[in-house]
Amino acid sequence: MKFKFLPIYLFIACASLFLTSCSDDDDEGAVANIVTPPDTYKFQRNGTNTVSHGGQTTRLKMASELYSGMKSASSNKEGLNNMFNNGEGFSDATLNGTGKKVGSKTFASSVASSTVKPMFDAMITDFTTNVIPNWSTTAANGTAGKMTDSKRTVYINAKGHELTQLFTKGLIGGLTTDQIVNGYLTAAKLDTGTNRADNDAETLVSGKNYTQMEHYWDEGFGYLYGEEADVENPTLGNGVLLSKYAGKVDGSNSPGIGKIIYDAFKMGRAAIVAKNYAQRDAQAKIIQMHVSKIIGYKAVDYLNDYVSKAAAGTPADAIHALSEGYGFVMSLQVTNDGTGKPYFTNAEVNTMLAKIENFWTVSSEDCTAMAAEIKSKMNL
Amino acid sequence: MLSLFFKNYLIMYKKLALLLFISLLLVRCGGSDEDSSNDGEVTPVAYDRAKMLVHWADKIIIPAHTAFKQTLTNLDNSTKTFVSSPDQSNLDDLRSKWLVSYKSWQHIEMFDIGKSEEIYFKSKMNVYPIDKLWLDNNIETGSYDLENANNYSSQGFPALDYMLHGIAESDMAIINKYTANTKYTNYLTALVNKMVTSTDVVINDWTNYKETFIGSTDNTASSSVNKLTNDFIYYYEKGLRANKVGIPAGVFSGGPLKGNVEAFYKKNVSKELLLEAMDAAIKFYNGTSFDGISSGPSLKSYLAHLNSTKDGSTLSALIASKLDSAKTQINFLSNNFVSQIESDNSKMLTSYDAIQAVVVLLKVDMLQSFNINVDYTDADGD
Repeated sequence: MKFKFLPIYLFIACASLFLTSCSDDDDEGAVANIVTPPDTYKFQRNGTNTVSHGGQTTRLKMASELYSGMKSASSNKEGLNNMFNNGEGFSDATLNGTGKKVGSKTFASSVASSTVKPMFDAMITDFTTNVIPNWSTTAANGTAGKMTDSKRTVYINAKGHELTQLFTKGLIGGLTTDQIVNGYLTAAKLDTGTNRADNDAETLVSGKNYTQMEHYWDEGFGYLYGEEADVENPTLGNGVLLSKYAGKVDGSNSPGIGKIIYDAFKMGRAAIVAKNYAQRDAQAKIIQMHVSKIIGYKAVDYLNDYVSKAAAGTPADAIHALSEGYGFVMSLQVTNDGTGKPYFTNAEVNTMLAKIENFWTVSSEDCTAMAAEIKSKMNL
Repeated sequence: MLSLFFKNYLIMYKKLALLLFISLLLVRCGGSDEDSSNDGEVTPVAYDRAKMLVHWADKIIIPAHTAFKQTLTNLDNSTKTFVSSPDQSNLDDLRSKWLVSYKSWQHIEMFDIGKSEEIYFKSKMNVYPIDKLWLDNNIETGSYDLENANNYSSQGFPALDYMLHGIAESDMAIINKYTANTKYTNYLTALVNKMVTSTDVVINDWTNYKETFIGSTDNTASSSVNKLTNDFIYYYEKGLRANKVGIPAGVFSGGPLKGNVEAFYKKNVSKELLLEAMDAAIKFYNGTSFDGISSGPSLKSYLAHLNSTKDGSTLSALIASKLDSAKTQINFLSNNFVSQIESDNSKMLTSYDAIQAVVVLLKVDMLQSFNINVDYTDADGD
């Protein structure tokens, strides 16, 4: 069987040498097993479910409470910090005492800059010590307070930031996207230690029905689908993080992107079951690029929204959009173009953020130019 | 709508399957060269692992341990002088011997192999922050077992740091403690004796262990190259990156933990120790001999031999240049990390990022090139 098709193998191999060089960094031993695309994200061993991502669901729910907490005048610093960094003090009691924390997974992958997470701690401090005490003050450049127009009321810091938006949209990159595309779906993570040998031998994690590699993939899956009522029939649009915006982009900017991502998730998971790691990594790449595009689309949309809303004479609504845009721009630094590189580096993102740092003096031209740059670099 | 999706999906899948098919063939063509050795090498001419191990042992590890032992002997002598006559000049002398020895230690902490690993050498020499309550209790009762893991944070260089700089507010008050109470001199002596004994055990064992070490040339989880390469990366990631910078800068917590800097009581030498550790790591990676005058086979030359690349650049050179960039960032820091954290922690974080940038290259790209598995797991799972 091995040499049956040797002539044609040689022909294709020789032909393709003109296109690409031999890779020496892959240790695939045998011809890959064929992977059949499964109908849904349902995987079983001996008739029992093998998919588990409870920790991700927990963190997604925690992020929802943090989102509410970051816009409520009754919050306080200790409480928000306790939720963010200690994973305690949530009103949904099932979230407490789980050992899961959003803070420790915020811009926490091996490629994320450690300088970003402190910005979230600073937002908690800023909101509770400056915005809340000025809840009924009229906001102005340099003064925290509230701003109202015909569309909405926003509570903003001295630079005009609606902090709950920066915080939450920042987490879409820093928590969900970073953990998926730079964490769980990377070969480095999936192949940690003896994961490959264990997966080949179907050596299960002690007391569990899954291999470590299967579980890592499922945890990546969980950061997008962790709040679905039925992962076999996902609706997207859940919660406040990636799922919500994947749903929006699927419904407008890029119809079908949701199916592409879901199909790649189930195909990659099936590839792990079939021990076909090249297939797994090819699917990971599809997910990395498409999840990254969700961030890109929303960054572009909100920067442009700011410009049109500011022009329409609705400053509070404009600031709300720019606050979302700021968070999505922050998130760009943990995107992944499929080669392990972000579409924009930490330094490039910081340069963009510096241009829109003060919402009272931000220029619409800068926002438009930035949106165009993101669109072009990410092929949106 | 749905059928359109499915059609797109099928087209994509077919393209993908073709690509995969071709790339698998390419992998096969890469692996089927004439000289397929049985030690996991992927290149036709196997790298001389034995020669690298000899170089590591003879020119780096053993000389580094010998040099460290000399600094420890000096520290021991100065301790005896200070104990017999606790005064300012002897305290100053002892403190300077402590610092010299602490710096020398930075060159051997990464070699957690053989007897070092067996006796938990690094845990007995450099666990910080100290457990102050536990340590004070040891001094007070005079009853303790330094072999007990509970005492790892009450001995070694961090404990000496406390004994020489932290047990009282002023130098005079520190000296008075030693004059007034043998409890302090006893514990100080016990700490130094323990460090000397542990070091002797490790150094003496290298005489025998060296043969085992250099003879273990294959590519298995327990072979010398695999273990020491893992030790090096583990040290770089945990001992250097996390302990010296990341943890005090708050990378793994809700905020900075300035009490966790290395040499917390002396304070203004944390950067000096970190730079020494970076130099040791850079020298080991490059294969520079401990005395700095020669070089030999190394992780770097091994990578160069394999022609490993990363995004079009030569991996061996990329790692070397990123290590240098990390050192450059560290040089921007204040000598005193406590004050650096208080005044501008972002500089600590920027240094952390620069150090971290090398971790990925070492742990993922380099190990993949060597076909070596990571033998430790991150405690970051769910």
